[in-house]
Amino acid sequence: MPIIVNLDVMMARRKMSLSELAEQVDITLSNLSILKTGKAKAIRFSTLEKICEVLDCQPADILEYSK
Amino acid sequence: MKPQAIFSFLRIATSFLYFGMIVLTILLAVKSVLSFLDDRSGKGSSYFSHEVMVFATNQEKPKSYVFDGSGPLVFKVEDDKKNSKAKASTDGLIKFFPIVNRYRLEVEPNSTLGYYSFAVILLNFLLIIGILAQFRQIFREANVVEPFKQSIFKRLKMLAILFVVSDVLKIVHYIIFNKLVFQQLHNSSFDLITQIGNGFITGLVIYAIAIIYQRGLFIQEENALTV
Repeated sequence: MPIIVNLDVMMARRKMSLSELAEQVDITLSNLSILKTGKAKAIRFSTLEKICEVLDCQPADILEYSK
Repeated sequence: MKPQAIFSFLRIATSFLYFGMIVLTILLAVKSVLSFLDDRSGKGSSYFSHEVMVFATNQEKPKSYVFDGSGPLVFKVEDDKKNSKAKASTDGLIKFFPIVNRYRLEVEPNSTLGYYSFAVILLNFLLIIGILAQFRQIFREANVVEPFKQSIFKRLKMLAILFVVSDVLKIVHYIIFNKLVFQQLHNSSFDLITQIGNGFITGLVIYAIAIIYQRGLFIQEENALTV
């Protein structure tokens, strides 16, 4: 899929663990793992909003398009 | 009644029917093999029975084929001119007619038609067992929490194929049976009474359900991968 999820990069920059982020965003660890590994087929605006809020970033910092 | 309870009931019912059919098939096979081995079976011990009908009217009446103890076929004449008149209920609201030109054809096991009849009955039983096995597995795997599964989709498709195959076999059986009877009894115009079409329609309906189910499976997978 040409959409790349850079969640791990942002988490490393914020020095935040996956479980910590899952707790703050209020989604399950498995769902967050699906997103991080690029297996997710879709992301809800509400989830993206919460992730951006917790990581203090823009959606473009997490999602990237490459051919 | 809760959906899970319905699934449980269907699971038990299909399991009961499934194992019942297996036992019945084994009994039939054993009984038939014993009949084949038994030399006295030609003297009326057990016959394979078929319902046939005569459509031609100008030909020789099948009543003339009287079993003399040496041939492989026996006819039980069920139609009679005396019985062919309509009868009515006392108030005259309901009339009932005997079915004319209808016969029960009994085949001795130790004959070509007997072996053929055994093979057809066994094949039908195996088909029923196959269909019941698919239903049984579907009800075992089905649950309300995760209703769509790849395995159930595959089983639904297999069920559709089995139903269509059962009807195809009926057509093949109809053709072969009529040819074999014609070989045994020249000038006879017996036609096997069979119901063709139910399996095709059921198979197509199940296939249509399988296609819709596949769409449900896709949506469920997509929903599971949406975070």
